[in-house]
Amino acid sequence: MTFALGLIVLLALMILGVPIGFALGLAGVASLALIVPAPVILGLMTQVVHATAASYVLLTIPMFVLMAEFLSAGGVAQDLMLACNRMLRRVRGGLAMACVFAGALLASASGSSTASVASITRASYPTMRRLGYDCGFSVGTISIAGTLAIMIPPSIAFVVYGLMTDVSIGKLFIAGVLPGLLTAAGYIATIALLLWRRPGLAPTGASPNVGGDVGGDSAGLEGRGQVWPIVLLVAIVLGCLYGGVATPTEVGALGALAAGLISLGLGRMTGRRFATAVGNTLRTTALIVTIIFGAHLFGYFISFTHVTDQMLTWIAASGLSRYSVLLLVVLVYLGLGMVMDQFAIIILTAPISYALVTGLGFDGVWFGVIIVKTAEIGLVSPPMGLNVFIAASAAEVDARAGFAGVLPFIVTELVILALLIAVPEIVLYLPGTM
Amino acid sequence: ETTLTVAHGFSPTHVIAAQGVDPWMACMKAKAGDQLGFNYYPSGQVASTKEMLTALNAGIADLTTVPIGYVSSKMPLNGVSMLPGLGSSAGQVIPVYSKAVRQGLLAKEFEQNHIRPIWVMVLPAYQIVSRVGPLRTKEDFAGKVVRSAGGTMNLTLSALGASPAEIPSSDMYVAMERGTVDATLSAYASIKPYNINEVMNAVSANGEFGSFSIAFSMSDSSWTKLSPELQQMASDCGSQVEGSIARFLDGEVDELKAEFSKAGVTVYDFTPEQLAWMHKQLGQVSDDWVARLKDRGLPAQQALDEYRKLMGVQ
Amino acid sequence: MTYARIHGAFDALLARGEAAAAVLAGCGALAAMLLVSADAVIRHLFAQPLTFQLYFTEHYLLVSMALLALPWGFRTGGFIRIEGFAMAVPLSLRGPLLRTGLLAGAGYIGYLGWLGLGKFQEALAGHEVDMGVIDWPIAWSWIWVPLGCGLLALRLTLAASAPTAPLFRTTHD
Ligand code: NA
Ligand code: NA
Repeated sequence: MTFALGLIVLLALMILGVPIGFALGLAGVASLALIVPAPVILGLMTQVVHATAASYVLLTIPMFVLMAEFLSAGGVAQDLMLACNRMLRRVRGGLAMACVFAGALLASASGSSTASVASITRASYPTMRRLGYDCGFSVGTISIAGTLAIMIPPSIAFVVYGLMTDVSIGKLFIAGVLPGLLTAAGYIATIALLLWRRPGLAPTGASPNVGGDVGGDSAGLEGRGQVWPIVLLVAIVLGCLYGGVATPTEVGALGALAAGLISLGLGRMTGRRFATAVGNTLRTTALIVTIIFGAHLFGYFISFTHVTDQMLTWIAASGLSRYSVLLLVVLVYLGLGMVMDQFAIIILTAPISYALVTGLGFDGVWFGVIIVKTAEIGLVSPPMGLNVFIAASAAEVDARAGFAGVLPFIVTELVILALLIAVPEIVLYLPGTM
Repeated sequence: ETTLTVAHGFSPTHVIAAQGVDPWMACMKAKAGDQLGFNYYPSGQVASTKEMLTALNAGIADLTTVPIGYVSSKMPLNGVSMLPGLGSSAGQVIPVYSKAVRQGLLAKEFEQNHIRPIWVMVLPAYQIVSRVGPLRTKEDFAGKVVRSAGGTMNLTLSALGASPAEIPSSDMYVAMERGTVDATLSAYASIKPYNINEVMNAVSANGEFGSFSIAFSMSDSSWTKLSPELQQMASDCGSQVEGSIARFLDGEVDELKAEFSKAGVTVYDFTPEQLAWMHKQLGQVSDDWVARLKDRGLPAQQALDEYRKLMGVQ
Repeated sequence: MTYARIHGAFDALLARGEAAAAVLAGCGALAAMLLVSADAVIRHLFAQPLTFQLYFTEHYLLVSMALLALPWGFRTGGFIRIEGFAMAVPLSLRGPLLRTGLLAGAGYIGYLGWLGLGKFQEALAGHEVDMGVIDWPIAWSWIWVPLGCGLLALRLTLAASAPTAPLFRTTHD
């Protein structure tokens, strides 16, 4: 009951137009006041900002954003979009599909979906708008393409799940490969299906002026649409990661440095663009950090209500069949995913749900992929769909249009989720060969 | 009825939770019955591992597992329990540290921070977990990059001639798998939780490379609210847990040694000559620790002497 | 002087402080990029890790970067809010509604900064250090919390008391 009250306070603040990060923090503090004494709240508030910022893993966010910004400053990500679009020019909505390809390519370098979505937005949204794509459809496509980063390895979500449950992170990474590729294919199919029904969402990409349209930021257009810079960058990132040069946390810094040097080498990095790239990185970092420490405060409230334990305990005690229990667990994750930070959910619930689900005879690696799939959905589902907020904010589009645009993809996600549950071999085939 | 709030940053399956906190709460429940209840927040739900002392002082929890390595600013002298060269098995070290926190300089640090140790836990000493075969000698350690969790571990590795690389625990598996590091200093209890067993090919068995210690502590204000009966029960259950967790940890090391050997991992003992060389090198770590705390005006030499005396070494 | 001019003067002054903080934050981000890259490369090629890197990056570069970017980031549109309802209410209600929300945010962030200031003073007075490769002074890791939160709270207060529309739309530079 207290939990419902806290949730109502949060939703009310958000609807009244309070910025999300402040709404989370204010709702968290106000709701905590109902159930714990004041000194406890002060203690939690004293720690939360510093603890959020002084976290080495947080480094991946500014570094992957900076990498994307440097790519953008050098027009490299646009080149990738152009090349993908050229490849797909005969296909209606080629640029939207190109976002998915670029998302999958970036995902194999990036472990953070927020950084991935920010970079896809900057690289592709202006062009999509100029070519006449529907803005909700564009933001929806970009938001969903960004979620690939936590399914296709490397992935921070798998690392967190592995740490909370003692499941092998290496196996989780391998297990994410096939579902990640399947998901990307599902997004492409969704785009094709949508455009077949509603061609007005996107024009054909065959316009001869595409190159000219893209150079709106006055970048030199000679030699545009080349793919080697991004291939070089992915090779550097994957080489550093799989060659043992850097850890998943560190590889973002090397990627950012490499992206900066590539853009400099291409002769496109002016002082002004450099400053803009760093500024955009700081803005995104500030936005995300404010939301994270707000989410922590609201998360403390959720912890103190014991609501997650209660739900899972109730499920365990109800005597339902193992598949009904699993279905309920998945529904709980989808419900929590609507309102909470995805990593906070995994951290709070994975130990308990893992014990419950593996106790019923399900595989722990497979369950990790299922949880990450629900996290993907949570990242784009209203009212708290972080990816949609980030894409909509960067594109200066109303978040509601973004949520409307992402809806068809959520349907696809649910179908894939059902498929992964029905056919666990999709997840378990590759880890089984290790 | 009394309700106590217990918090820690470990997962509920972590050895400190499963073999320390859970049995202590079960023991209390068994003795106190209906007059006692617990609010339990594992997994950093209300405070992370780094914030355990703060959480006690702010009243966020009545009891937390204070990790000594994370409170070097507030309880620096207690860091003596983590120094290398001072004991190996849990059965040897836990009783020593348990006595040390209740007398002299180490007890004073608990008093100054307004907390009271209920039971302590010291993991069996860290060992060298390697992906490049056994590391035994000065020549073996030279040029090897070894993962460290920071603090005294850095000094220990430098004293052995290796290069310490601070890498967060969440990246440890990947760093070992891909060869970003050649080895890591780790307690046996932490090897499987981080899946390092999948990527190692050798692990030492009798090194004394320091350890990880925690003091399961209660805030003074919560303690004084307990009835004398409950206070007595808390202490009795604490002693019981110290005994059982020490037996568990040492037994687990023996089981893991057998398991790793069977899986083809080289589980090796250092020779007495190698141990003597290491002891000499590791002496520098204690010296450095003493010197640095002395610079801060702290009686570190006296704390070290007291601790050594309890351990029965000179 | 009119209210608008006084407000404008405060705004210009604060904008300078925010810009200076943002430049420092940008230096922090670039320093982290170079330091982490250097650590990885030197460790890989020469087996000589920069052992101080992790603690320094985590406790100084990251904290200063994140906190000093807050006020400038907010002013230049680095926040997310659901504007649908506010845009639907009559104009006479919209102003007070958004101003109240911003003031509540100012109170929340200002209080977080105030608590951080207390922690900074405590660490400074107690000469608190974390024992690592060197004795890291804790106070200089905490100073960024009151600085960043304090500037952001001022920015939110100014936005809430603006003579014209209080940040109806998120804006970008
Ligand atoms: Na990824
Ligand atoms: Na959501």
